[in-house]
Amino acid sequence: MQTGMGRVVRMSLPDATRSDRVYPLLQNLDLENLAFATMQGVGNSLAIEEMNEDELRRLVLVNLARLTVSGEWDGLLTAGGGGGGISLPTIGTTSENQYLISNSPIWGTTNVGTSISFTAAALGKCIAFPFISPISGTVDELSIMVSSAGAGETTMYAAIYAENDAKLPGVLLGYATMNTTSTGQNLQTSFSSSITLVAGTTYWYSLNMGGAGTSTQLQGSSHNDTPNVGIGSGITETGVAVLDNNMTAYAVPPSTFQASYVYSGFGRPMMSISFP
Amino acid sequence: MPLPNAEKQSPRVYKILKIKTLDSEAPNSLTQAEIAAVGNPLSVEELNEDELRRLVLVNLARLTCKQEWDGLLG
Repeated sequence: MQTGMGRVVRMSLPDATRSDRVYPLLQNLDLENLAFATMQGVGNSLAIEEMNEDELRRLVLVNLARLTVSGEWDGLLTAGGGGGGISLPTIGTTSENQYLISNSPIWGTTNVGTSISFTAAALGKCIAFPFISPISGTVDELSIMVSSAGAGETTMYAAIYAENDAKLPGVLLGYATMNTTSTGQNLQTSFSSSITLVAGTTYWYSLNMGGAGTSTQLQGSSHNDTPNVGIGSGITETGVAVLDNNMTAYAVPPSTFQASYVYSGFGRPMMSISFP
Repeated sequence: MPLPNAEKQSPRVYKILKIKTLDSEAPNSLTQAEIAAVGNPLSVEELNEDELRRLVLVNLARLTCKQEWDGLLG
């Protein structure tokens, strides 16, 4: 190939076509100043076909070169997921077969002597609490702890949501329909859909009443003993959970959680999950 | 040269890094910062394609020796 200055440039790969997009568009940039958005702008319009193979190859090569100078490839070298790389203890004996997601780091606490009332009308809508999955697997059991049996309405939905880009509850993974008729640990093994979690990743569990209950209380921790979710309308915000005020009250958990606001002054109910 | 038609000499990547070794424990080990310093000024054009390729190859070779690619495998 002959350049405009008469110099002959031979492609390192024989029979390679001339670059008519990647190099012409990027030739005025060096690797230090080449941004991902620029790469994306160059590559997005490339059709995936034989005649573009050399351009696809150049695109990958340039991106790898850009990434080579931008930083260490820690994600390649180090295994792990979200949650800041937190590793939680895993089941050690057959008798210890539950993961206490409401009590474990970084969001939980062991002080779970508080009775948390679910009689307020607002709690017909999902209130969600963050947790970090201890292991990777599919949930086969979910439990809550009822401290006061429900009356009027005894159905409660317990759901697990994936985290969205804003680090708030996002897509519904599945929910269980709990019955708060009796006090004590209430266990459910049936879910609306399969709930598969990844170790070290942050998820959110939510709870909402299935109707106007008059006495339903769950055992858990006071908001005074529980880590704050870290956002609020003022410096004294005591929110350990977020509420979806957009959903229909008492309905099943929505397929996508819309975090309306931090729900202040409310404790963190106990919840445990198990895996096969 | 492993690639036909490649420039006979690397004008930058191998020229600057030839005193380095892949052994991350050795005194003359190659760091990511040193690779970045070599690669940053490379303009993204056809004439530099072989240098871009060498840069990526050297970095992958360095990472091959650094540790297991747990992030890829896990």
